[in-house]
Amino acid sequence: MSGQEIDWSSLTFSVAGQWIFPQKGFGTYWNNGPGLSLYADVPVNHPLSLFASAVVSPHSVAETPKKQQIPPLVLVQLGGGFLVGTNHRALFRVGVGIQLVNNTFIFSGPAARPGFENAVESEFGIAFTGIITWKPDVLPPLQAILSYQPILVGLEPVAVFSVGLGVRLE
Amino acid sequence: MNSRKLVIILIMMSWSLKAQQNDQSLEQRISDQLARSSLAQLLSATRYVPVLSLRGLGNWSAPANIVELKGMPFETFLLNLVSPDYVPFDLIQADAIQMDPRPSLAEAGSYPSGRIVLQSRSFPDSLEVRGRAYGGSETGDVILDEYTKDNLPFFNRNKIGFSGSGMVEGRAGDYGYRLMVAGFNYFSVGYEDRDRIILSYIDASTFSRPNRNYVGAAELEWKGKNGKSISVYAGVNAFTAWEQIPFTSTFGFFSGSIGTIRLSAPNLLPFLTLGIRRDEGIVSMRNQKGTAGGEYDESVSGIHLLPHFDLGRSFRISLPLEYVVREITIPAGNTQFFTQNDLRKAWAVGIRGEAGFSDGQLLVAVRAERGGNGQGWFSATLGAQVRTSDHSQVEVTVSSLARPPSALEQHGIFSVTRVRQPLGEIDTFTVKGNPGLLASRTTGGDATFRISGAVRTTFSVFAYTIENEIRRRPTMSIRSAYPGDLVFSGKYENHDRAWYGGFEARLGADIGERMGAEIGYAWTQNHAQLPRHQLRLRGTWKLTAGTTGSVSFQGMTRTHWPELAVSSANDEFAGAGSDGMLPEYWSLDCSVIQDLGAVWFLGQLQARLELQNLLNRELRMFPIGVTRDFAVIGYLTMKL
Repeated sequence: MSGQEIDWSSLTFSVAGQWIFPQKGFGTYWNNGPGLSLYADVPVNHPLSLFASAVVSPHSVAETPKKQQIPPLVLVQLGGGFLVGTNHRALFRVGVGIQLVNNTFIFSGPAARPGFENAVESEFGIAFTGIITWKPDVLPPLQAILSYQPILVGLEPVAVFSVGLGVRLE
Repeated sequence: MNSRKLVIILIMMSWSLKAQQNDQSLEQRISDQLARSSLAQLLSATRYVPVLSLRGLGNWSAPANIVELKGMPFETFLLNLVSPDYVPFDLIQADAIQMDPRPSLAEAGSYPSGRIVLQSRSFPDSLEVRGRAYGGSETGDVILDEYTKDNLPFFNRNKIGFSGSGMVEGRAGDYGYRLMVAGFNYFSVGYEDRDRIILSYIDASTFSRPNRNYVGAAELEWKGKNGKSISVYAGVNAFTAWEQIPFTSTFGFFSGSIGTIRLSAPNLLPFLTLGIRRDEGIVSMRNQKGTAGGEYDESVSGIHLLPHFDLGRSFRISLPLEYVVREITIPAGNTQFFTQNDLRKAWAVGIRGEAGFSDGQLLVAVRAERGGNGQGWFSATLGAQVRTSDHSQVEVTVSSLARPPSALEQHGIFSVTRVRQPLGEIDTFTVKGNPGLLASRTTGGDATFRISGAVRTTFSVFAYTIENEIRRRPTMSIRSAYPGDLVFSGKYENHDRAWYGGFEARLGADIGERMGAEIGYAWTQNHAQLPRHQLRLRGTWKLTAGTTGSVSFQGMTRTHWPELAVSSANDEFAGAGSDGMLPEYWSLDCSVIQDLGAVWFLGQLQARLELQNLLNRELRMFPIGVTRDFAVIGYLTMKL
C-alpha cells in the first residue's frame, strides 16, 4: 500500500472540560450537561492534521410534561476527521476541524425501555470544531474549544453545541 | 488457442467491473458493489439482502439463476431470494466481481438473466492478513424521538450494525490456502409505535431483533505440474433476518443457513476438467400470530465434466456434461412453503466451440437439458468479437436459453391470515405454485461497440423476448390501514410473451494524473410499456498522495411492478388503489479514503480509513412503504 508517511511520534493529546448544549428536540427534553473530552491530532501535511476526539457527557431530563416517560442519558461522541491549523510553534494557533462523529445514546433509569437489543443506539453527525491554542511560557499550552455538530438523521435532525477549555499535553 | 488466450477471451466477453480497484473503494457487500459500479437494479424492501435484476426485468418475478461461484452455478437461494449476498462468499476474497448482464451459456450452466461471477483472487506467495471493519447509520428518526414524540411517522428504520470481515491467505509449497470470516449486522425496523409493516405480524418478544449474516469460507488449492491443479472451496452463511417473503409483500422472521462445497480439478487429464458442487440450505419461519410457520431443506448436487480439445493454435472444442440432483425435503406436517418432498434429476450435454482469429474471436455453444420427467430443453449462444481498429471492437451475442420452473414455482405455497382492521374481518391470502408451468425461454441479442483510448467508450443495444415468462399473478390483493402493507392471493403462471430491450452507454476517462470520471446511461423498455432511464456519474480525485475523494450519483426513473397493483376496491388504506408504479430513485454518494500508512504501534500494519456516503440521500418509495436513507459509513481496512 503506497502513501505518504505519517510521523506518529508527533501524535499529541489534549484533555478538556466542556459544557454540552443539546439543540432542537434533544435540547427541549434533556438538559445541558458537563462533558469530559480527549482530543488527539497528528500532522499529515501542513497545515493538515488527522484529528480524533472522544467526549462523554451526562444529560438529565428537562422539565416538560413528558418528563416521567423520558429517561436520562449519557451521550458518548466518538469522532474522527481533519484539522487545518496555523503554525503550531506560534504563540497562538488557530485550528478549524471537521469530523465524522458517532453519537451513542445510553439511556438508564426506570423510563428506559428494556428488552430491545438496540436500546443503546448510535447516530452519526458531522462536527465543525474551532480550537485556539495559547502557548504561555510558564504553563502547558491551553486551549479553547468550540464545536457544533448536526446529527444527520431523521426529518427533524438534532444537534449538539459545546464549549470548553483544555490543556494540550505536548 | 492456449488456455491463457482462452481466459483472456472469456474475460473480454464479459463486462469486467472492478470491485476494489487498487483498494480505492471498499464496499460492504457484493450487492453494494454491483449497485454502485453498474446499472443493475436492486429489488428489495429491506436493503438487507437485495435481490438483483441485472438488466431489464424490474418486477417481482423470481429471477433465474444469476450467480456463478467458482465456475459452477449457485442455485440454493432459499425462497427464491436470488441475491449474491446469500452466497457464502465475501468481497474481501475477490479482486474483482465480474458481471455479464447478457443471457449466456457458460462452460457449466445456463444464465438466462445474466451472470455474476464470484471467483477468488489468486493466492499470494507469502502470508497475508486482511481485515475490514465498518459501522454506520442510516435511515429514520433518532432514538431520542422514541421517548419524546407521539404518533411517529412511518419510516423504515434499518441500521448498519458493526460489521467486518477478515482473511488469512498464503501459500506453502504446492498448496495455497485461505480462511475467511465475515459478520454483518443490520438492525431492522422494530418499535411498536413505529413500524406497522413488521409489527402487524410479530409479537413483542421479537421486536428489534437485528438481521445478521455470519459467513465463513475456506479454500485449499494444490498446484502440480503441467497446469494440473485441484481446489476445494467450502463455505457457510448463517442468517437470521426479517425479509420480505417473495410470495407476498409482507415480512417474516427467518433463520437458516446456506452451505456450499466446490471441488474443481482443471486439466485433471490433459483433455478433461472436473467439477463437483454440493449446496444445501435450510430455512425456517416461526409462527406469527395467525400465520403458521414452516421450514424446508433444499439441496443441489452436481457433477460437471468438461472434455476439451485444442485443434491447432486457435481453435478449441469442448463437450460440457452435467448431472444435477435438486431435492426439497420438509418435516412431517409442514404446511408452509412446501407440503411435500420434491426430487429432480437433470442431465445436460453441450458442445462449445471457440476460435481465435487475427482480428477477432468466435464462440458457439449449444446445450441440451433433460429433466427427470422426460421433458427436454435446448439452448444456444453465438458470440463474435471483431477488432475494428487498434482501439475499437464490436461484440455481438445472440442467445436462446430455456429456464425450467423451480420447485417453489411449481409446488410452493404461502398462506397468511390477517384481520382487516376497519372491519374486524379475518381474511386468508394464499399464493400457490403451479404444477403445470412450462419452461420459459429468453431469446434475443446484444451488440456492443467498445473504444479504448483516452476516453473509454462502450455502446450497447439489446433486445430480448421471454416466452412463457414465469411470474406471479395476483388474483386478489389488499392494501390495509397500515401504510404499505400489501398482501395478495395469487398463483404462478406463464405470461404469454414478455420482452425487454434498450440502449446502454458508458464513458470513462482519466483527467491528468489525479482525476478520473465515468458516466453511464441506460434506457430500458419492457413489456410494461414504461421506459426506464438510469444514470450514473462518478468522479474521483486524488487530493494528496494519501487522500482520495470520490463523488457518485445514481438515479433511476419510475418502473412498473404490475404484480403489486391494487384495485381501488381492495385498498382499505387510501381507497385509491395502486398501479404498481415504483417512483423515481436517486442517491448521491461521497467517500474520502485516507491512507494512514504504517501504524507505529503495530509494526508492519498498514491501515486505510474510508468515510463513505457523507452526502448520501436516497428517496425510495417501494410499494410497501417509504424509505428514506441518510447514511454515514466508516470503513477501516488493514493489510499486514
